[in-house]
Amino acid sequence: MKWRPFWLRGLLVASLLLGAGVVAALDAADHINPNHAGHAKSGVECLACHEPIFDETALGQLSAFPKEAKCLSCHKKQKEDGNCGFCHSRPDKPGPYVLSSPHLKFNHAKHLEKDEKCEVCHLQLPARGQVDKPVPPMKTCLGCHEHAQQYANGQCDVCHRDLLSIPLKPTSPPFSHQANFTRAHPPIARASAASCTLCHQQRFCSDCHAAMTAPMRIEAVKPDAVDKNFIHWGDYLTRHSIEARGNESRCQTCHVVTFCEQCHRAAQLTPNAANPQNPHPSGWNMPGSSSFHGTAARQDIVSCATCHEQGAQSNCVTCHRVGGVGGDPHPSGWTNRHPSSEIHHNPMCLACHP
Amino acid sequence: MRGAAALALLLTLWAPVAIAQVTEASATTVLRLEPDWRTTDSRVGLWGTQYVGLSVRGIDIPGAVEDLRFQLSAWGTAATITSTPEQLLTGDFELLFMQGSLFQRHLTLTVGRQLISGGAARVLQLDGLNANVSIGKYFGISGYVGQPVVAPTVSGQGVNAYVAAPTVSRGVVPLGDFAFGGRAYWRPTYGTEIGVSFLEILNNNVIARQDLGVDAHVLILPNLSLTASSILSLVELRVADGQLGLSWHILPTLELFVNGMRTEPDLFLSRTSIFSVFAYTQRTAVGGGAFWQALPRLSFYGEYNQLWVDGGSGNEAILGVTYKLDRKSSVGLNGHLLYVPVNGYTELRAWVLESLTDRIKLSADLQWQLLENLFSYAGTSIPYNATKDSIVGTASVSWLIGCGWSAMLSGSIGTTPLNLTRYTVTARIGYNFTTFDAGTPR
Repeated sequence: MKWRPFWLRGLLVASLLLGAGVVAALDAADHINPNHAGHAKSGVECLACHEPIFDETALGQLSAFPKEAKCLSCHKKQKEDGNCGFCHSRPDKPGPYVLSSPHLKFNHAKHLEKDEKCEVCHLQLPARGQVDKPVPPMKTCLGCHEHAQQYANGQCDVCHRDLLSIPLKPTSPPFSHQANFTRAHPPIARASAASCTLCHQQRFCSDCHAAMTAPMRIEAVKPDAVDKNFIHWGDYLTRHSIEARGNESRCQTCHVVTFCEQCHRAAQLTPNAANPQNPHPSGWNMPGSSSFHGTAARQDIVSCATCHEQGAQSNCVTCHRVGGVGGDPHPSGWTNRHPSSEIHHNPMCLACHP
Repeated sequence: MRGAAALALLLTLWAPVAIAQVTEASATTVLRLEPDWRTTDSRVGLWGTQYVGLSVRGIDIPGAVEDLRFQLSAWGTAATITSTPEQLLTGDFELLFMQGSLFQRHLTLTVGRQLISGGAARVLQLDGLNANVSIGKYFGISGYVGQPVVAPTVSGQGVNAYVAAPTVSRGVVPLGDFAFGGRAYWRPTYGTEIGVSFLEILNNNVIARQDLGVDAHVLILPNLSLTASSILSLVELRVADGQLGLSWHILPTLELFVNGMRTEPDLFLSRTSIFSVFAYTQRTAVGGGAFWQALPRLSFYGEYNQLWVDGGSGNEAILGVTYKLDRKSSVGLNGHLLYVPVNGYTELRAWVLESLTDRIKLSADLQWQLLENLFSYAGTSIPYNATKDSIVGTASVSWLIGCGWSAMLSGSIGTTPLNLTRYTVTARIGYNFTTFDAGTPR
């Protein structure tokens, strides 16, 4: 049997995965909507259905959720009439209530000892058609001094079981993410990387920062995340040289210059390209010209490296080596920082100073 | 024999999953179709990429290791157009490490492919060992050693590619072949941390980089924080990167900030590069801005920086407005102006994110960009328009299928100075699986 090309097999696997997703989509799960707001409006007490909550010491204990029989004590007629959509989102495929794992550590019993009024925390309840859970907002928790103090001390794990799985967006100091945090985060992360790891796993960072190994930029993977402040949105290719001129060190956080050289070589712009072409303006090799390469190199040497970084024997050495026609290429003050003795032990010096 | 080895590997990977407190697994398939203008005849290519991720944590081995963690993030790609035959099917690991805490969490060790973050390292992708020692309540020291990650010997995917070329095969190692460093820090409170760090990278036993870093994030008042960091090149005795910022939450809905930055980009070139001997380059930026949550649904963001680069000065301004239509739907308008001596651009981007249902979302964005000066590629074969502006529109529909599955279909089309026309079609399907406390499916 003859094997098909690698890429064809890869595409076949990917197509199968896509197909599996479509199958799964057609089998979306049922969920139950108890219409909390409607019950409250009708004067049904919370405890009429949730009496066991008095004994619930941790979220997710099944006893705190009413059984179907409890619902049927009032809504028996709907079931007898076959009106399954009254409670089930998928009346064609009704299923039991699926208990999701809780993300918070919370002791209802302990809180109810202090105050039995549910509405102290549950300020707003979802109505029919809303799939929101009746979970109070975090500011409700922080309304108590004890929890406000824990928040101020960064003791997240007092309440949150696992912020790594369910990261939240801080909106207050010292790590507010409200403004353009993508742009602001580098110096903060440099000094507070451990705090970042409370919410972010390394793979969150690697989505953007593992540029050495990532196959494509995050904007290409998530074109639907239009509200994110990603750096390379839209036509970045056109503006990349301008961005680089504005702050090349920011580019070099993720990209080494050989990354640039790879793309420039594919575009036939580098000396080692298959069909090298000259992108430089006229006068590039004319001393005194407004576009003389020496002036450009002094102002932006990193851009030179993005096409000509082929080791010490690149075309700079040819002219600028000792005795070459290009003359001394070092910037002023070079000899103050680099003693002449360095020539004998730095291989880079030997390229021009044999 | 191969089958037995695969089974053994599967069991080895599955064993920690079975006893972990938290296990997260994901598989994402991305199919993308677009023309690649870098190939001289602008051929249309199809790329299929499979991402896999596994994060296992919370494994305790009594009396020995606490919170043992394992993290894997990898991908494989099949492409229809490449420069060389070996690029047809390729892949790599982004992360592959094991982490565990010893001595009541006073020592944390991480071994494998990882990201080293903080201090002079900035973000360094490293194959190696990282150790973090907590000393008392407020102090700590971390140290790492290993080999900086180099790109695999393959090309990436079209103009959206990240992966670099087979530079190693040409004898040029991108960053270096050996790195070590560390950071000592003082963290008296949550939100305040001061550190001193060191990084050295060697390339064939020659120093490619040797940096000393100082960094601080200080909560001066409950609503006022200071951030400062500096990286000094010990080889050149020049500051490679210095940043200072002050953020003031004057009101819960209003944040003001000022910042200053000075960098010397040539110092981020390897000291083993011939280009490190030609110039001292400098970039300076000073500016500030504000974020204002004017209404619960409406927010504004603005920032301005004055720039000084070699050859002149420039300006950068960023503006953003976001309006929430409801809890899951919003619209926004972003503007970005950047002018430096060589060129400049004005960019406007409008976007909308609309939840049709709880499971189906539509998103679209339209970006318009105007260059100050035309690009000049006369004499080259680059297919460029003789225009200064570009316009690119993207529309996507994403579907939260349920049971951990999600799907997305996206299309983008436009015209830009560097591409006569440009289009991309992207399909993505993902599966996420999470368990808490050994096997309770979410």
